[in-house]
Amino acid sequence: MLLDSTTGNIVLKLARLAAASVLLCIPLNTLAEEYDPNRDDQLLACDRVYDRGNIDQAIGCYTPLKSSDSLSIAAEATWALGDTNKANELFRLAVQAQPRNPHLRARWGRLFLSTHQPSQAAPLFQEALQLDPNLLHAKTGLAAALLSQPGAEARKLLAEISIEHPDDVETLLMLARLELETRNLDQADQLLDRALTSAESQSISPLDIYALKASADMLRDVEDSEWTKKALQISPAYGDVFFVASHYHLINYRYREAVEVLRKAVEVQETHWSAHSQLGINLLRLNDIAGAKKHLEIAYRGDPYDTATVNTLKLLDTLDEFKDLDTTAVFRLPGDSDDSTVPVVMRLHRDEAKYLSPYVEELTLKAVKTFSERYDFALAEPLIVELFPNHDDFAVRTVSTPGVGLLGVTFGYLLAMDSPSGRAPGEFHWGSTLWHELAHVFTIEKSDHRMPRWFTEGVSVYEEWTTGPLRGRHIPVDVLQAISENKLLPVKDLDSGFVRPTYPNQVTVSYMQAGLICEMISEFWGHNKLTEMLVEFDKRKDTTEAVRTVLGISTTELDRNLKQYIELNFGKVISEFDNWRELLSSMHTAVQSDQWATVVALANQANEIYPEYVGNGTTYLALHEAYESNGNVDRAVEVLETWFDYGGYQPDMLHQLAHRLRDQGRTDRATEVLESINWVSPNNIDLHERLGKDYLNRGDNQAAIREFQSLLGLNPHDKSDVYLNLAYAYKNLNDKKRAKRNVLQALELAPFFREAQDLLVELTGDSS
Amino acid sequence: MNTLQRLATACMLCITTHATAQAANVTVVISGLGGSEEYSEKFNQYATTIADATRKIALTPTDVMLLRGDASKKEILIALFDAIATRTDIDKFSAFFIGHGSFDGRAYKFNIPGPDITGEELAELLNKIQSKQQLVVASTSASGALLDIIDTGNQSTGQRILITATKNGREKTAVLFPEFMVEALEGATADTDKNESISAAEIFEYANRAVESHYETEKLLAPEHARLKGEAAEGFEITRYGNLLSSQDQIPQELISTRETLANQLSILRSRKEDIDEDEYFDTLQDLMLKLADIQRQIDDSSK
Repeated sequence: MLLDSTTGNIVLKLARLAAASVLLCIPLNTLAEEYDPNRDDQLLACDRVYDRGNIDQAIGCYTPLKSSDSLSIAAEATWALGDTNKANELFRLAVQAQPRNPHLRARWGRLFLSTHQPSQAAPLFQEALQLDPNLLHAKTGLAAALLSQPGAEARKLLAEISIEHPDDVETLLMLARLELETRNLDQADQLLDRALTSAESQSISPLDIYALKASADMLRDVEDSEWTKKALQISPAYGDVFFVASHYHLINYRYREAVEVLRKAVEVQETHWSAHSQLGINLLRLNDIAGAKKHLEIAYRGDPYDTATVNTLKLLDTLDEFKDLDTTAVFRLPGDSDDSTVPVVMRLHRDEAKYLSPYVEELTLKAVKTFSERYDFALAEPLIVELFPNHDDFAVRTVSTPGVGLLGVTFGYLLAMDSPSGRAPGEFHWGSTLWHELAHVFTIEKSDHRMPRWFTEGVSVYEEWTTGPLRGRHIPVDVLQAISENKLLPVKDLDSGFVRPTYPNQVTVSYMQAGLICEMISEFWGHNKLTEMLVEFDKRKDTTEAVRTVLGISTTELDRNLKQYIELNFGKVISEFDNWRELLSSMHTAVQSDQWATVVALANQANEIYPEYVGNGTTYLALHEAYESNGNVDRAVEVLETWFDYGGYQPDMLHQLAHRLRDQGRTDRATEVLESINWVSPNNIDLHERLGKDYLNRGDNQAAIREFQSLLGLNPHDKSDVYLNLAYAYKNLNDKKRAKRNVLQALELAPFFREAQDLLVELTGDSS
Repeated sequence: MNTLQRLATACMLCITTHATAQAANVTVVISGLGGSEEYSEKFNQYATTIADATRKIALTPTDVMLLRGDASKKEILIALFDAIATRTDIDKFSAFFIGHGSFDGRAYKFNIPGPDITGEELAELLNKIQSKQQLVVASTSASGALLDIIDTGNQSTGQRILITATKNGREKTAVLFPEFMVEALEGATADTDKNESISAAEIFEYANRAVESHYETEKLLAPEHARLKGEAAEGFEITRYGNLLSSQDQIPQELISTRETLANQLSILRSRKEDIDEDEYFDTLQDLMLKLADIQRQIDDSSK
């Protein structure tokens, strides 16, 4: 990119703001220049001009340095002026010329950090540290790169650095960010105060510290932070003072507030590309598609390397392939005598809207009715439900990057999730995911986005278990293992298990722990206490205060209660965990070698310890196989039924169970099993055809209509038959007009269809 | 004049056309070289089923010719096609090729005893036949190569429909398409318009879906993708079943003609659906369908 007088300050700021956050969940990397103790004096002089907000003068200062004889100075100046490609090339040449210079490698790593490539940056810092294990600038750079990855490595490294260099400003800032993320505001303040003192003594610009101070104020609901004013006094175009703060709104689900803060960021600094990008992404979360597009396009023009911007712009293009289907949810709050309504928009891909919408609608309307009553909250805005058949589109919608393992996310009144076709059949229970996300809408909105992460996740998990379409607790083996290894966090620190996991499955463990806490509160204190806690969170109370006010105990006591609750519910499997797992493992070995008697014996022993387990490697499917192999069909069906009753949902096994039940003449039970498949893997023509006919036969005409309409959406081979069945269902409901329309649609496709002709004659009363 | 009357007028030509249509319906079914006992047996069985099915609508049983084993040698094929080419009474001509095909990047070959016959040679044989409509079903591996060789445009020999089991010559594995095509001819499942008559479009649709579904169920990448090229496959009857078949001699021709006329009026109505108000469309459709139901009842009564 060439620099000219019209674009100069734009590219300059691109470079100077290059440390902007890459992802919502990642803390900001650091502004490199200020914390480089070996920075060349000529560059430092230009930095100071920029820090005072004299942009044009700063361009004039950096420009001649591009032609410096020193490759490293030329690279730095080029970078500062925004040409990161050229800067990269110059760093490469500089490192080739001085391969033993660790500082150069550290600076090159910083360039990668600034261009949203922490995984490229980390190896350069590591190389620098091989050359000089004590190079602080490389250590802090590595810590910044590691902060973008899950795990405790970054925190560990920062702890080490802070012992060796207790006054290092950059380290103090990163530590403060971590504390802010988990709302440890006092600890953050202490770190920032130390950073201020240190920065002053080293003549380092305090702007970044002010930005974090302002963030802490924002988290305390201080409207006009003195730190914002101080920052803008030094540099009126310092958009980071708002941009940095927006991150803390975002990780607390406060998208509306984040958008307002981001608007201020681009107002004071219209070339803050990362702020434009985040503004666009978050406007999209608020369903302002046009606004999102505008800011994302601005961001792209300024910084085409930001993958979040590029991915989200691509996603916007794919939204054209979606259809908005409108419906209305009816609910009644406790104590109200009348129903209220709220509009619901189902945004579904055009290829699956027709077959999926009946189920999305049914579950959404049921959830609104259920949660309005259970949480005494009336939705105040239209609810938007988006389902993405392409998982990467959903991932971009969620965190602006493909390849994440999430299933659903709620931004307030808008929720997005994988559609059932977004994953292999049976890989997830989409009905439960939708139920989970819909519960979030209520907890997030009732608390005005103020609840802690653990609470909203806990309520959603608890609702999945108790009121969702797949009843029963579904606790994975590795979570049981974590419980048996005492890895649960104290409730007051539970948010860190979601935001900054320190071991691989800690997020899942935290979900389950949160779910168990909410279930326990409901069971021991009553469900209404969960609602009361939301009210406390809305009053800006934290976990400790809310627990004390509503439950009358400390969080430490709550932790003790949880331990007892877990003992009560999972005591046997926790105490015999190793034995139970060994039994499962031996059972599967026996399955491999067809030792069916052994399989049965081991499975039964395992089930005595933990009969509810229907997850991966469950005993029930092995038992089923064993009984089938022995020709004991009745026992095989029996164990499959037990598995189903405990919440097993593998679609092929459910189809098999339904088939067997039908063979036994237990049609109603078979229908119940088939119905459950709709919430796992509804993309199946035979399923809807069978269910539709079953419902029609037993007079459940509405359910039959849902099934046949869904079936039409899957484009079956013989549509005329489906229309005829729809006509029968409507006729049974005395809806003659719809019955006639459907029978005519049958005849339109199959004019010689005698059964349809007969029904038409009957419906029109024409017997001529 | 209401929509129904306009349709009736528009369809006068259809009645005339149908009333004079008593010409021959000729079918040739060729079972190629199996290469193994299993395939030979399968191909012969498919070919026999097709011949039996098509014989149901032939004016005389001899209008359906089944060639298998040494009878499918190239010189015999050429002689047979030359003989058929002399006939001028053919309304519909169908040719079914069942077996293995190959494609070397340049030429398609249908594998038969002795020298194989190439796609170009097949096209030449088919072009000799004088018929109003032609159906060519190449149900072999690599048969998609014929899409570029056998013309479905305006023929001097009449309108041609081409069905291939694969989308190009590169799909070379043995195909499942004929198995499902035969299944389509054996029952009412493929008859989506429920007229007791199975058309070329219906066998294609049925077999194509069944192949797709097979590979989807088996979680395998489909190595064959059938293609249908040409117009009017919907109206190209291949076989019949039910009352239409069992009592075709007892049903008065007038009823059959009226039924055809109404069906044609329906086709015209459907083609105009976008241009007509929805309620008017369904009102007209209702009138038409009630008339058709009445005719259908008379047909059923006459066949009792």
